[in-house]
Amino acid sequence: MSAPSQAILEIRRLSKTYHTGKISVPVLYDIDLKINKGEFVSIMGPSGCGKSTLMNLIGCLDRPTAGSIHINGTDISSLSDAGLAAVRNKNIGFVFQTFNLLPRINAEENVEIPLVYSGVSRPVRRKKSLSALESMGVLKRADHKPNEISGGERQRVAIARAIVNSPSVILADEPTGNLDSKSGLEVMKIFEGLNSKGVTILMVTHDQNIAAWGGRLVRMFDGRIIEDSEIRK
Amino acid sequence: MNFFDSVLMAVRSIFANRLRSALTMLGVVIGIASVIILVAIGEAAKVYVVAQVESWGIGPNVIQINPGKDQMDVSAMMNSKLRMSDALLIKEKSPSIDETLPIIMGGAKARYGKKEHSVSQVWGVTDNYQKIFNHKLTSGKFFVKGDVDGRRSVCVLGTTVARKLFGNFDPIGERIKLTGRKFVVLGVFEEKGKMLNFDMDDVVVIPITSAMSLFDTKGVVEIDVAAKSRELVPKAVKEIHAVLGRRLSKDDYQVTTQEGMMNMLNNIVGLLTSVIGGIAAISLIVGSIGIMNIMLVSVTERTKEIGIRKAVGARKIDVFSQFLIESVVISFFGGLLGIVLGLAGTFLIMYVIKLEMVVVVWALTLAVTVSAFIGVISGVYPAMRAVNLDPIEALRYE
Repeated sequence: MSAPSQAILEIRRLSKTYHTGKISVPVLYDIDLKINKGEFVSIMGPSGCGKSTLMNLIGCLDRPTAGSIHINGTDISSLSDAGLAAVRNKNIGFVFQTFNLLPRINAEENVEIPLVYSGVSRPVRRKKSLSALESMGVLKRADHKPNEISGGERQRVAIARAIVNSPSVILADEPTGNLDSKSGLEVMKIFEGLNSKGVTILMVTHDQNIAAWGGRLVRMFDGRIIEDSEIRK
Repeated sequence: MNFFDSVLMAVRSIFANRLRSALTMLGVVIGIASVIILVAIGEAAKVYVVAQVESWGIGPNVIQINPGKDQMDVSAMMNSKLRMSDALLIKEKSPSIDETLPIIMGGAKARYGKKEHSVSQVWGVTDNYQKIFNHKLTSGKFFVKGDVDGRRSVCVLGTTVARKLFGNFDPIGERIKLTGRKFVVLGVFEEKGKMLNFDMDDVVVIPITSAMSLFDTKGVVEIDVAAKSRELVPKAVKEIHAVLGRRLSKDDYQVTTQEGMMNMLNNIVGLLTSVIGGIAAISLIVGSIGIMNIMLVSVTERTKEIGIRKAVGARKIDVFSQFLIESVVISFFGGLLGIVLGLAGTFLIMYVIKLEMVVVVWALTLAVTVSAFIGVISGVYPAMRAVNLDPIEALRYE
């Protein structure tokens, strides 16, 4: 294992409880997890085990009830809303099951959005966006709107958006869930390629075969991590 | 995210829903357009009155006496108790008064040979007409005291009447018929043009004594009185009341000074202003509610978009400004459209009523400011809603 200084993500005694009216619903208990730079971690577990909640907490979309999350050495639980937004913008790249591209603008403009919020100038945005699309093999789709391209291409555009700001970690939530097996395979090859270049990936999936693309498997059950092991290839 | 990007994004989003955006703008468009038109009409009316006074040479020392207790008293106009002798008596008894001009008005059919023309205004006046009105002649001469005293059938023609009856011929010395009676043409007036769609040159001026028998009336519809100076106007008014009060009751006549005329005009313009201003205000409020409503719909519709934007790093201020700017842009466009429509409307109205178009810069500035302000007011609440959406919920929204 790598040295602690290389930990890109360090989670300590993390718990999350949702309060709906008078009822408290605990979702995560005392999670400890450390992910080093360059790792490709698959998270598996049945529905409702808390893996999406964990992803949302790591993705700074939600705040923990207790415990801490350090991303690149920064404790995100102490950050303001604007600070969290900045972390999402610069350190996190989301890849969703349903792609979540904006339907009214073309692929190139979709990829530009994170750069818009980092205050990058227009010409630089365009250059970076096109280069990200090129690296995903969808440069020829730059001027197409999401509904004009295939599911696999959409997910590749979405990955381009996730990597365009060179984040510390990519959070992928069932990235192949809405794709046919061929497109799914292509997407996984892209993840593999990104990971080989040193990109850290954290992926949630139901699919054992998809999970096997990672180098480490974390299993969750009822809000706890029940297994954390290396995947042998 | 910089301001230019935000505005561009807003414009694109507005163009993505063209019809809806246009309908949303309508309230603001109508409100702003009516403000522009109203202000322009008011200003044009003031300019008109000043121009009118100047062109007729009616100085600030001129006082008008009319029958009836106010301008709305039409029956008093028909059965005027004012007489020519009143005018003469006022002039004789009042030290502050220079001239008095009694006027009798009517319409008549004018004929010359086979040519016929219905004259809209036949004025019976005394020989001092031109001392009060700046109504010059291009040819011939005006009638004199002897013509008035001798009830002579002489006349001076406005250019419209001269043209209709004589074409390019010189009418001086010719005889025309007014309602069957022969009149000798002494002169032709200078052209005055049209004002408020009324042809100022469709006029024939004859001695007041001849007008009395032509129209079979002794009722004078107006006596114009020139005080010796502007300062003497209040004194002159008192003297008029002193003379007329002896013979007539208070309801039989009214005295209007130039100042009074201006006040009356300002009252009318003021009333118009408050009525249309009220309509404009209501329209702007309705427009504002419309924008807010659409912005709320837009926030709901774009819940997922908001979630995505938050996920990739939009701060609260980014989301807030996105929706606020969109609202301001809609309203601002509405304002600009309203200005265009308002100016076009003003141009049309001014064209129809033949008044000089006045562009009031402060009204345009105000319109732009108000429309932007409405955008802000209508946008704040929907933008707050967008800001407070939970990104996780928003991403799940379908």
